[in-house]
Amino acid sequence: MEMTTVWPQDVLSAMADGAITPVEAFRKLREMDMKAKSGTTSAVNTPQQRLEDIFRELDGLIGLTEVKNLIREIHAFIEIQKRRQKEQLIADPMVLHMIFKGNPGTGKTTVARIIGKIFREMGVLNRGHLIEVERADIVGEYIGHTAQKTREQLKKAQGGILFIDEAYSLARGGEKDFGKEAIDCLVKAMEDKKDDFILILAGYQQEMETFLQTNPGLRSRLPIHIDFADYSQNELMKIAEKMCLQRQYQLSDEAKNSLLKRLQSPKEQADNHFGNARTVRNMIEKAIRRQAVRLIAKSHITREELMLLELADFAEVKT
Amino acid sequence: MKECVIVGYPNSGKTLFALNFASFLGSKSVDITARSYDGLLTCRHLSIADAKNELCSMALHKTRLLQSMVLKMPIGKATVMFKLTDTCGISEQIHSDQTIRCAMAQTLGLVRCADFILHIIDLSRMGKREVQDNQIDQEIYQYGIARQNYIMLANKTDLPMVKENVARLSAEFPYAQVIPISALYSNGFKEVKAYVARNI
Repeated sequence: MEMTTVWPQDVLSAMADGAITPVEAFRKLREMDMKAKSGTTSAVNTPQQRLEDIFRELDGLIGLTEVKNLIREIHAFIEIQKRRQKEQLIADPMVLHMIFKGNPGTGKTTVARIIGKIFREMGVLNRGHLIEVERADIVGEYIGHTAQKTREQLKKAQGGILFIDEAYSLARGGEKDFGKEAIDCLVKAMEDKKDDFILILAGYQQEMETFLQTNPGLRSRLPIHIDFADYSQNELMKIAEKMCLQRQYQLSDEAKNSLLKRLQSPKEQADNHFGNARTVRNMIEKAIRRQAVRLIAKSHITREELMLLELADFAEVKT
Repeated sequence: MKECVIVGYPNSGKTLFALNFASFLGSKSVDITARSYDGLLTCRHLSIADAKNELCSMALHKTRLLQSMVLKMPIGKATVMFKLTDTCGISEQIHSDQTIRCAMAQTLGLVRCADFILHIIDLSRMGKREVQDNQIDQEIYQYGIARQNYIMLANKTDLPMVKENVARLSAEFPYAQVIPISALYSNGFKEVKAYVARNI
């Protein structure tokens, strides 16, 4: 008699009922476990596959075409340098410190995180984590304090990425500002520990330009410059839709139209520091909260209603 | 708490091993929690000697429940607790007794979810058995190898005429780590302890 068994529990009860011998039961259980294992673990196996997953994550980001190309370029460069090293050819030492220029909310931190993951999978960094700091974290209060604080952060970032947001603020205070000391300390670390960590300085476009001009040595020590362009209206709309999808929400047509009107690109807006993607996220989150308030009074809520964001939910949301 | 399960053919010395291993780790008495097929729990406090008298016998299928005890393993300066579970022996054929069939199913169920498996092999049976007879050990071995946290304990090394069987065993189960032991005289327990300590 051949019985079809689907779950391990069926095998066990069949055995308890005396329908199959323990030997058969073992065979069936093994087959099931094998199937379960091959189903779940094959997805993330080799470094190559993991790298592809990360690149897919990168490609999933809306816009940022230049950035994506540049990261692929760097990836290819590192890969070829590795092959050259294997063949005993002279390989350029890899200096991968970077400057990210762009308005807030253009994806600088997100991209930095992905870069960390890519470098870890490629073996450039051994941990690939991201330490995010700002001026207050590395500039001290009295003489000598700054170097200490900076070194502490550098130690934390070892094997990963040190990401300094609003980096131009280090050079803004004038001659007597301790920010200079921090820069000196960073410059030295960049040279001494160039295999150990990657420094990413991020900030607004114009401010970063002035920052680099005040320290001529910096520009050459940070060979990779990435410009993060502002998102266009359509790109912002796509981002909004993607965010909704991730949270399992949908936008009604009126809500889409109203959102589109609000998402004028920064150039057309008077305020030049329009927050881009982060603003979109805040708007969506606000709308989600508004929707919750709208629904909580109702006694019967359908599944569709739970997922739909309507025009009314965006009514009070400001850009 | 990690769970360690002892499996093997009936009368291969699983219960005796469990009790002597507990005493080897320094327990003078054990709390034995027995779990029946329908989920009934009974807890008994026994000294090692009493437990041996009561739970071990030469007859086949003495153990018909899952008998667990919590043991302390000294690792470095700390002690780590782990659960050692003794099970009903598994034979090849469909057993005529319903209780034993249920107990075997229970054993299998536990083998699936235990953290690691100690597979006890009776060396004295090695010479006598025919090919047909060997199947269940092969199956446990195959299953254990796939699960990775698996070790084979070749029991009854104290008996005469079993020396060459150890070599035969490693030939038959090439990928398994085999530790020759004597459950009766607590020989070879140091290696077992080291293995268990590594895994908890």
